[in-house]
Amino acid sequence: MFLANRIFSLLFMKEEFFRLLQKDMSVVDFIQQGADVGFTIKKLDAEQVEWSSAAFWDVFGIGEPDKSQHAQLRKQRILAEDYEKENRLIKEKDTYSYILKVKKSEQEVFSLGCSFKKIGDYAIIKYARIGTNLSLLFGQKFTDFSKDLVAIINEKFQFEYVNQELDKTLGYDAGQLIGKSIEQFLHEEDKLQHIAAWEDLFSSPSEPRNTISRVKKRDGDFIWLEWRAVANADFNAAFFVAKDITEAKQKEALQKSLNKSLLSLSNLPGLIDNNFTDFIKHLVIEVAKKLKVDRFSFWRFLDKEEGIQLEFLYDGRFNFIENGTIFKKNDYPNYFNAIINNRELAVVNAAENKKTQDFAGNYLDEFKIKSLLDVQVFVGDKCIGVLCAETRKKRAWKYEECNYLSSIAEIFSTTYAVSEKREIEKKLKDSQALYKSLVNAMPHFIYRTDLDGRVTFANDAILQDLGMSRDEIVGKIGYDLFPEELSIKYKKDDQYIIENNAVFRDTELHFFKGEDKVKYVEVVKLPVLDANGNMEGIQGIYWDVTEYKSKEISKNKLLEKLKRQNEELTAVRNRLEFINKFSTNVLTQNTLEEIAEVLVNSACYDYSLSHSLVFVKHFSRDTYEKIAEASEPSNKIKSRAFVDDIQDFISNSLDTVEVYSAEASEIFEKNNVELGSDWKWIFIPLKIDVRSVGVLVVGCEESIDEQGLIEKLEALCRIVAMRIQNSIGEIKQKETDTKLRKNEELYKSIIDAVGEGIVVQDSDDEIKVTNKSASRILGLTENQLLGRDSFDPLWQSTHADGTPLLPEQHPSMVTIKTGKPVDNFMMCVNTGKGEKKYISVNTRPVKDQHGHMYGSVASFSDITAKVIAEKEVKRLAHVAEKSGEIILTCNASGKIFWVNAAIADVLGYNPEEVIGKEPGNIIKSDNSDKLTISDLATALQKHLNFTATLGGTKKDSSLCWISYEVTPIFDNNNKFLYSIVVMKDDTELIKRQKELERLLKSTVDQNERLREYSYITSHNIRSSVANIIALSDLLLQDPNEVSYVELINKTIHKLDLTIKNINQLLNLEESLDEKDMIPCQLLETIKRTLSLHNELIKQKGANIKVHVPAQLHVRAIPAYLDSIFYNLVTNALKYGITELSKQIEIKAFRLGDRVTVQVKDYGLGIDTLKFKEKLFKLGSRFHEQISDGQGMGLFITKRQVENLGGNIEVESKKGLHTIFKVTLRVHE
Amino acid sequence: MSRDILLVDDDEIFILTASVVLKKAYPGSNILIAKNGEEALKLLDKQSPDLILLDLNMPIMDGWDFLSAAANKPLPPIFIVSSSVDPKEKEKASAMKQVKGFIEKPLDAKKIVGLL
Repeated sequence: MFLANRIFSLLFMKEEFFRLLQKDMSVVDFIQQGADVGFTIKKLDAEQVEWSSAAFWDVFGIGEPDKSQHAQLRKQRILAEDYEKENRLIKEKDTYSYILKVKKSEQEVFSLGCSFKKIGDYAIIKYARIGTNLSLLFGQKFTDFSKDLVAIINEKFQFEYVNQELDKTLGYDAGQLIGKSIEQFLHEEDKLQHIAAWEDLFSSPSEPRNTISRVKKRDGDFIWLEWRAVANADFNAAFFVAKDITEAKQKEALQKSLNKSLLSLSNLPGLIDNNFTDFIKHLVIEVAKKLKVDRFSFWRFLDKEEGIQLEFLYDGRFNFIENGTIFKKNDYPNYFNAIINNRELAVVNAAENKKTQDFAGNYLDEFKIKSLLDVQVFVGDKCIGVLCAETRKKRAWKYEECNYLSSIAEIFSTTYAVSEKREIEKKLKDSQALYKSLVNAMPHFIYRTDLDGRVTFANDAILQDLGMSRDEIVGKIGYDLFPEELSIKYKKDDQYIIENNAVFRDTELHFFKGEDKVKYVEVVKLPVLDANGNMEGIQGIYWDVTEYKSKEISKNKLLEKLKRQNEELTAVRNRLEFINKFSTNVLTQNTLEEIAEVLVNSACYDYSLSHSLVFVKHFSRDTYEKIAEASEPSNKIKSRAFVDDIQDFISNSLDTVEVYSAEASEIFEKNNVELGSDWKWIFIPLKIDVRSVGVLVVGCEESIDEQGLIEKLEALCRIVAMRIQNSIGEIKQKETDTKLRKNEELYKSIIDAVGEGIVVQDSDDEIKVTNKSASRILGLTENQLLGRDSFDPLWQSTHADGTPLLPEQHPSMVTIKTGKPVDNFMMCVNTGKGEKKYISVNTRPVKDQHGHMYGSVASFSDITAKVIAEKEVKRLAHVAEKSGEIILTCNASGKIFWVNAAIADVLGYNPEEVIGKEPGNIIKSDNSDKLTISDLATALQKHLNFTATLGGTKKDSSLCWISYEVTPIFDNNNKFLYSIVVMKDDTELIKRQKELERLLKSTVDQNERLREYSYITSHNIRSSVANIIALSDLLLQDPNEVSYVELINKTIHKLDLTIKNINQLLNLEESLDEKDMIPCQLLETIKRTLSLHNELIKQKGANIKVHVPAQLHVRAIPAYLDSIFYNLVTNALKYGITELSKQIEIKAFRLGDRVTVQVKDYGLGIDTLKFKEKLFKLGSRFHEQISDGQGMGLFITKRQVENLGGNIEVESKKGLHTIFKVTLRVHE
Repeated sequence: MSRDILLVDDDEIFILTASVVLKKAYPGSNILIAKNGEEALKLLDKQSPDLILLDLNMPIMDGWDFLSAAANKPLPPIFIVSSSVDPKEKEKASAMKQVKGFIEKPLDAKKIVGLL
């Protein structure tokens, strides 16, 4: 404790360590053990020593140094290799024991026994002296904590070291034994033996010596120790390990003693002279003494086991008692149960044991019984009684004792059984007879011999077997009775028994001399002891086990047979394995050469043939070519000539195996193949059934047995032939496969190149083939697509408008079911990326070469962008409807595929009426717009922007002007989706525009006319004025010329007229009010006009024809109308009447809402080419002959006609006719 | 010396008065008359007047047409006579090579000085 305290107080300062200690208090134990032990505590990885005890330095052999020097000194002093070892062990193990060598001085080295225990990061090591000059060999085996009793003994047989256990066992304190001689502790009787055994322990090679001896303990008792002694390498010390076998020994002794007792029973008095009672008595006494029990009794079972009755009792004190006490079963149920159900009952504490409690209180108390041992006695199967051994002191029954008593019970039963029979009881008195009868009653063969081997007794069974009488057999020895070989054995066995005093058991052959019947017997022979325990002979018992033995022999024979069969099977299996391996090897080769290589290599190396070659038929020629060769030593044939030479031999052996010697050898030699002694050549065909694909040629020594070899090689050849055959097929197959694969790749690359997604489904609707575009569009890899079907809910298929798509509506399903194609089916699916896509699907059935449909192929394109854009457009269009704009969408060919509702409002057409038409043809335009319509159509088809305005009629035939604005729409990849056309009703706008134009024109015209007026008038006035001036000048110069005055007068009148005309013209510029216009009957006007010209008509002699329907009325101002026709008629009369022609025709006819009046004359005519423009202009005069006009007439007429909303034309041919056509508005 | 003056005008009164004035100014001169351009052209085929006095406003062929028709004929000095004073006409006349001048009706002695 002191030591431990010291450690603790030191370590207490080191908290870490203290904590560690708290975890593992076994350290304390470790520390506490042993005085004279030094301690070191060090960290596992460091050289630094945390602490060393003072005792350590004692043990170490030096005074305690300064702490700083601890580690250094340790290292210096401990031998280098041991130092390393210690460090290593500490790292690797949790606990270990070992020896360290420490330098005392340069010459002197001593050993320390060490052991350590790890705790956390620290190791606590303890060191103890173990004497001098011990080698490492011990160190390994040395352990302080072993349960073995260990000592190290020096040459003088003194204890150098004793381990704890040994000290303890012998009862000595540590160190007390050191220096003492081991001999003094040995039992006298054992001393000699051991000294002898250990004598050469230190001089001869170190084999362990095992001995057993009794060793005296400190208290004087002896214990049995089994020693195992080994010397060390230097032979200066020995390692003694002992095992305490005292207990075992004691057991042995007890057993021996009991056995002896059993054996000696046969010598008990009473047995020999058949005095049964005596025998029993002595038996009982013997047992009681041997078992050291106080009471020993025999109780017999009553009938039906209802109870037990005491037959006799031996009480050590009162000797033999015969008593009739009865114990009934019912009274002692537990006990009876126990003994009936068990053969024995060993009870240590009878009073408390349940089974014997029944007797507590009376029987047990009366006789003061503490422990009992009861054993049943059986005669045959029946239990007849129980033997009871009882003690007054508590007794732990030993196993040997129970056995002993059981044996006694058996003997007892035997003797008891015998005693039942009254006749036999008599014989019992005769010990010899008893014995004999005992022995004879047994079915076994029993005999006795003396020490010389003479028969002293043989039972009836033997006598019968031998056919001798008792007298005849007594005195005979083995040699007399048995054949020599048996007797020798028997003698030897007997010798063994005598020498060793041991029991002999064996199973041996047995037959008497001259007997031909052989028996097998099992024999037990034991020494017979006299009353003093000296051997006086041998008793043998044997019984017939022939049947058993013969069975055993058969069994052995069978085993032999099986073993042979097994060997055969193993051989077969080996062969099969070889073939298997060969086949595998061959099968994995691909080229002919490689296949043949396997065969030639196998021939050479597995079968030790010297040379092997394979020839195979050339693919096009009729010769055989060498494709593989192997030889040992390597000796390949290179020449071509060889192949040629060998052809005949090969041809010969295509069908059957051929063996050649000299002839073939010649060819080989010729080609420089070195042959050994006489060789022969075996040609084996490589056959499949009857066809041969080649030949294997092997060369070997003459002496080799062909048959077996050929058989084995043929098997290999068949395998190779098949493989060759297959490989040819395989090459072809490979070519086909390569072609197929190329086709497949081509096909695949074609469908991959297609921009549309392609998917092929089989008749079960499963996708079998896909292309890249399909993956792209559907957002799934090929692997994800394969195996999916149309019904897969992952698609979430719907129609384009969102309604669910029923499976039978799916285009693939339709095609598969009906065999009919489906085109442009629009649907919406969920892609692998979870987005919705619109696709347009076309499906076609897929048929095989017989025309059977086995699936469908679907091609589809992504129309999502388009659909989405369309939806957007429609959404916008609906908005636009409200503003009255027609919005429609046209496809790539310029046809309308959708229009908003505004079309009905604006143009009066229902959407269905225009779907499929071209936008330019909706409103019916006239030819003037043809070009624009064509341009519009072109722009739509070429997907260009375009604007235009077209005039036409709405459905209700009302005029309209519609502006078109075309905008093509493209998706993100610049692919055309559709065109949007916005149509606006510009009718009002255009009308107003046109009105403006008309007004503008009319204003411009008017301005132009006014300008003309001003010119003409100024000119006309001026010319008249100029004339007047000139005339008046002349008149002044020549006042008498009267003609001048006339001319002045004329001119002034002309001037007056001119001015009047101006007024008229200006009046014509005033626009006429519609309400001034009244219906005028045309006929009546013309008639009136004509009547005004009566004078002129008469004068000219004109013939005027009038064809004017009476009902024709025109809308006009009467004054105008009169003026117009007056002028025309005047002109016609003036210029249209010639000498040749006097005809004037006036016709009128109606056309729609117009009336045309024609005034035709056949007069002078006008050169219309020349004068067309000028005709109706101011100042135009064409006919100089009749020149009193001022050229205003037609101008005025034209103005008048136009003011009435009509127009005037002229058609004339010079010199032929002139027609003036006036068109006016009809009045209904 | 006998000098021919061609008057091209459809106005009879002017012809009369102009002739008197011309005869007075150039005694002994011959006055040739054409009622319109067409007549004038015909006349020029036969005769070569020394002076042409041309009116613009005439029926059948007016003065301008006559000028363009007679462009490639050898022409004596032509003077345009007109009753109106239209600057445009004056400009147009001055652009033509044959036209040597522009006279405003009526003719008087002052206006015709130096013509021949």
